[in-house]
Amino acid sequence: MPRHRSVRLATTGATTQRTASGTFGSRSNGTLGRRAVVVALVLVSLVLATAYFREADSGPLHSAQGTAAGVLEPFQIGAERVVRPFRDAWGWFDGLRTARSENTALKRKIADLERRAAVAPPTGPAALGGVTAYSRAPSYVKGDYTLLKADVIEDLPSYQQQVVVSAGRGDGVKRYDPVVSPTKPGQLLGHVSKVGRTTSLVTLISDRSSAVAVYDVAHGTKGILRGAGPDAGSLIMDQVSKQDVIAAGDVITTAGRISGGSFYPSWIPVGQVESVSQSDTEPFKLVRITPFADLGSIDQVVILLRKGPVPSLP
Amino acid sequence: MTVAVLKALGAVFVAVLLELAVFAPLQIGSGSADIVLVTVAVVALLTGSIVGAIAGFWAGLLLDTVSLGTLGLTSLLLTLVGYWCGRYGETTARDRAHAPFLAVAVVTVLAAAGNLLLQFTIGEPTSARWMLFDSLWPQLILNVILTLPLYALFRWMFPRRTLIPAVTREVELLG
Repeated sequence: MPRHRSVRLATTGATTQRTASGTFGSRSNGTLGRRAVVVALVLVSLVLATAYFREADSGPLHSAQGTAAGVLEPFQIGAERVVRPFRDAWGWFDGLRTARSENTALKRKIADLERRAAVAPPTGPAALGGVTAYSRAPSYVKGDYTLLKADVIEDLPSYQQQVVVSAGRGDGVKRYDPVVSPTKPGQLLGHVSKVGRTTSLVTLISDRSSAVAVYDVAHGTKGILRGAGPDAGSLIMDQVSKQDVIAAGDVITTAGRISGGSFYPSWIPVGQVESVSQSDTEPFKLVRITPFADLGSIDQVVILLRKGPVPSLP
Repeated sequence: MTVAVLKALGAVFVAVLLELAVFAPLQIGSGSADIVLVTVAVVALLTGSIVGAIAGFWAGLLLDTVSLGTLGLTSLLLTLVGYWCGRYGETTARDRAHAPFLAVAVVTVLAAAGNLLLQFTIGEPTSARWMLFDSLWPQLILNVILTLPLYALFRWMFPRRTLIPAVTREVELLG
């Protein structure tokens, strides 16, 4: 028997000394305390989630969240600025890798768009003989919106297809405001789905909850654009009946209709028809749309702030 | 304990900022590393279940706040992650070299499944195939890779001698 082991220890056959675990009472107290902490935290989480889910957007938890997000925003922006050069460098190298194939695809797209540019878009209500007044819907191209540029300060996990931007209630942002890209012309990105004091949540058109009334410029066909999630790669134009005419390469814009609680003014470029198919069993055509905007890499957005009241259902 | 909790809260705060600014936008394959999950798991392994659960709750609260998500959901998930990793560290994982990697791999899969369940519960449209297959595998690999430097860092931040009592006692026979 080794000299450093006591008789009592040797009797148990143990090869190493055990870590002290205290008396039964203290161990029991430790276990109880540990369980009490985790049960309390789980309960607080459940109560928070339930209360947050049930309360209105103006409720106390939403307000507290907006305030806290505002406090954390400088840290987010600071971190974003520090890593932006590295992310840009990564993007540059990644861009080089895919530049050749993108170049070919873009040349093809430009040629196609030039061919279609000859087709004049519809000019809205044309013949208004005898009509003395016209209450038109807010128009993106006629200056009924103020454009607010904002930075993306957080990309949420891809399955959510949402981003957080650095503008909120204090900047005049309201729920359901349309969001476009900062390019000219602005391409549709999505809408504001939640507004904090200084930040807002933007749901992209690729999200499964998104629904936008859209219009085929070449053929006048209307439909509802739905997101198909991150794994789809393209969007779905729904509610296109088999009698409607639509073809691959057609340019799709917003139709100026209320859809999904949001009003998107007409003529915001959305994307291009990628493919059209139909089956005997489905009542509608299956139309896939490739969005103009790169929804996977958004650094800045433009929020369309309405100058007047937004159309709403009675 | 208090010092460990404060250190854990600080580490989680930095991890959340890094997640937002660096890791979330950096898609490799169709997934990205989740530094917050790895941080909570590794801190819990080194500090125990109570600190792990608190760190997880704090991490979830921060993430839900900055992303304007439903408060409490991510906290619930990460509290359980922290508690489970802490218990694993207090019991069978002690002094085992593979423990952090195994723990991170397991909680990555469980957190994805739990997240999917919560999303369905609150009625958020989501894709199970994407969450459990397309994005999970790249994330699993990236998280396990990330475990190595983070475990080394947090072992330095949370020296084991301060957390587990070094006092030993002899075994006494009953009766």
